[in-house]
Amino acid sequence: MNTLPLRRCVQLGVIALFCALPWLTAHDILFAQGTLFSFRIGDLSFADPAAALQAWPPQGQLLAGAALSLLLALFLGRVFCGWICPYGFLSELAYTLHQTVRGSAPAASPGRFARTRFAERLSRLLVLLLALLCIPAAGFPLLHFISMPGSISLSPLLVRIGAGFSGVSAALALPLLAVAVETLIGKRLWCRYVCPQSLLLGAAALPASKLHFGLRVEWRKEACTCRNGSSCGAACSMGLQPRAPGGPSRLDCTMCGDCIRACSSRGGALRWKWGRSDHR
Amino acid sequence: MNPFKPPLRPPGAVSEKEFPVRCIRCGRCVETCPHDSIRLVEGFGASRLTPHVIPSEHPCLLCMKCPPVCPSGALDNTLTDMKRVHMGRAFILRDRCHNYTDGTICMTCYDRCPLRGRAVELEDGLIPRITSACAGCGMCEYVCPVGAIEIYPKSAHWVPASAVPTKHAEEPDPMPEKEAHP
Repeated sequence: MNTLPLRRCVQLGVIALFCALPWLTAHDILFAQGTLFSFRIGDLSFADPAAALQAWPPQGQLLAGAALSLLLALFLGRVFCGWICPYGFLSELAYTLHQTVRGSAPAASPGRFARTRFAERLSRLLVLLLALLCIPAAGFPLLHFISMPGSISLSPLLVRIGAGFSGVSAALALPLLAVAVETLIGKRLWCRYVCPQSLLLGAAALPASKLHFGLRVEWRKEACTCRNGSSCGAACSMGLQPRAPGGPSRLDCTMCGDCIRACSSRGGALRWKWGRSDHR
Repeated sequence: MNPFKPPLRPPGAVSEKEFPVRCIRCGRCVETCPHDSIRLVEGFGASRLTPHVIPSEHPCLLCMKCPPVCPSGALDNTLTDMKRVHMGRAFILRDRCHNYTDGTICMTCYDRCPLRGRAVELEDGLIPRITSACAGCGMCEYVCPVGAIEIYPKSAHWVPASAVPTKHAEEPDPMPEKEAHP
């Protein structure tokens, strides 16, 4: 199933929504409010789990919002990263641009692949822990300033209140710099090595792979026709290997469906699956 | 922004020491404010992107829409009564105010105060004086024709030298809501 057109529509829709929200709210159109730090749509309030961790003392409303975001990740995996996050969208564009110009990189050997996964997870964990430990000394929530989805979704509001070029560029400087670096390097560095939100969402998504529920990418070994290289691994912008029992790890997979799309013309061994995986 | 004057926070803010730690800089209060009174602090300090009010540009109208939307508890969600707000306090500068300097009768601050008759009183019916009921919204600083009023946030530890002393407000009488919002 090709979910790419739908996913692009959702990603662009989210960006359009956050660009319009400050003005909609100003005109008393209040179906949704907020930024990706704290967002309300109808009666549902979501919060950035990293933001909730930093607010001290913990605040009920924020924790409830963060719990809702994590619950979504538990059932649907890191759909936020693949479908909603505006930085994820920009990062994918940068990755695609690099691939188009330079061609795709050769696949990593299994040993190197495992080491890379470990380094990615460790790096994100260190960023999260270091920032949290430094908050008491710094006196302000450090993770806020490296929160890509929040910063990007806050910038239209800065434009509306007339924060000026300096105010808006301060919020957008890091995302734009990171996108520029990723375009040059051709790897989704921020999502893989830095993003604290992705680690929290991935950790929340992980129990579902053990408990066999929720949305997953399933690999059916008997239907897999690729022998040497695999088109699914090459299609994954996060550098994952979907050809594994139980599919790609929920800690790292952004549920973008690119591997399923690549596989659909090669036998269709990968597919969306809800609930228990029959092929483990 | 004056580096020696702490930022004037929106209604219901926790203490200035706690505020930068609690506030998650989500912009909900800014977005909700119907009067564009709340701005975000610029620059790269600890207060970066926290909300503040600049009374000389856009005073707070005490509409009380921002405290309930704050998700982080940096603003007190239960605060809905403008009479309980204490963002800061206004000070009338004796050496600038018409009524104190040249005797011109000006009652602009008294007339435009959202807590009319409570936060600004007219002594002998003529001389304006700020009382301790002042919420610090900054409307008087905004409307004063001669710039004779300055707002100091509640976290400020000093008052301007030429300030008229604040009058102690009588115990707030249980005024019905409909009278408080004419």
